[in-house]
Amino acid sequence: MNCIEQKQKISELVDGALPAAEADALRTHLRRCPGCRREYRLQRMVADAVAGLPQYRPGREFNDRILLALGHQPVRLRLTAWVKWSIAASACAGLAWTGLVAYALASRLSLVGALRALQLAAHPQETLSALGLSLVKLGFAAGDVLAFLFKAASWTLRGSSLPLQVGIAAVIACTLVSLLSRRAPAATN
Amino acid sequence: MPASEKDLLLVGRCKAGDPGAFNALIDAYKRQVYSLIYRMVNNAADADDLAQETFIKMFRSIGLYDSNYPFHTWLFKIAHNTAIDFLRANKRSAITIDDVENPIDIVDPGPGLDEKAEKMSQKGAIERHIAALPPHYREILVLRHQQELSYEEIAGALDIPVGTVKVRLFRAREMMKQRLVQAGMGP
Repeated sequence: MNCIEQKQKISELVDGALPAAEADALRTHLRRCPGCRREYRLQRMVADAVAGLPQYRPGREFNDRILLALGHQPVRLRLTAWVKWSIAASACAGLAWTGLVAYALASRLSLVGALRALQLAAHPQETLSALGLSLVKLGFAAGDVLAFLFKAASWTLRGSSLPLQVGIAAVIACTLVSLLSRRAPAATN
Repeated sequence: MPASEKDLLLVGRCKAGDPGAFNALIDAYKRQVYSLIYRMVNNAADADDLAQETFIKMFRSIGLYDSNYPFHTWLFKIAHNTAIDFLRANKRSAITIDDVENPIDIVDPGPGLDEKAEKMSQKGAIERHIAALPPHYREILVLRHQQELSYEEIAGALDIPVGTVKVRLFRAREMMKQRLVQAGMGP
């Protein structure tokens, strides 16, 4: 077998498609023949170059477009029951913890105070009365904030001229209109 | 070689009209189908449309699939036919290296160029050389070396004899080899 005939065999050797006996014979030939050895290296190089090229990915909406074309709704992520329960349990634990921290902060509790909060949890009646007290305190605080805002507004308006008052009223009106229009649902066809 | 168990399961559910199975089957093969078509048509937007068309055709004719043959071979056959029809309609089959938008730019890796940049520039050059081959050579190289199909599987996907697969692969590698050697990328 001459070297020109070997070229096709080398191609099959690169593909791993040559029977074992023929592959062994060709490998023996490659050790002796620098020309065929170079040919093997070149063909191997091409194979490796193509294999090393990246695979591409179609656009994000690819699956959805196909499903819609076939008359199906796009498939969304479905959560199993235990995943839903886990998320709900985590959310509840998180809320409870946040509530406890908020309560501790609102009551300005120290570490000893935190222990007191735990004791309160053990005695529902006391806890309810403490929570009621906190709500009343919160109401007073909100009242204080509103009173401060009203005072600030009246102070600004009292010393100002008519054009400034009209300007302030216009700014407040624009802010209210933009907030209300943002909340309004978008028009649909 | 028959289809894999996973493919058979998904195909069975697709035949029953389960959209979840459609989605899973698309996810399993979209990269392979899109990459093959992209390398055949050399255009991302066309490749996207054609890959989509391939899957739609596949789902519509899934009842005709014979499970005695590998599923991916059947899918590649649809992709091949879809891309070939497109190339014929658009007469893009004879793209030469001069037709490629970006001219060949073989970067000489200077001493300041790090290894990663060198590899990237080499990959870019290889990509351009593949893009310059005739589509049936690009396709067979990708099917053999990227999708790792056997001669028999390629023959099934392209509907040609195994002997033709061997000859076409040999010629494709010869053409690619000459281009790489001319570009100074030989061993």
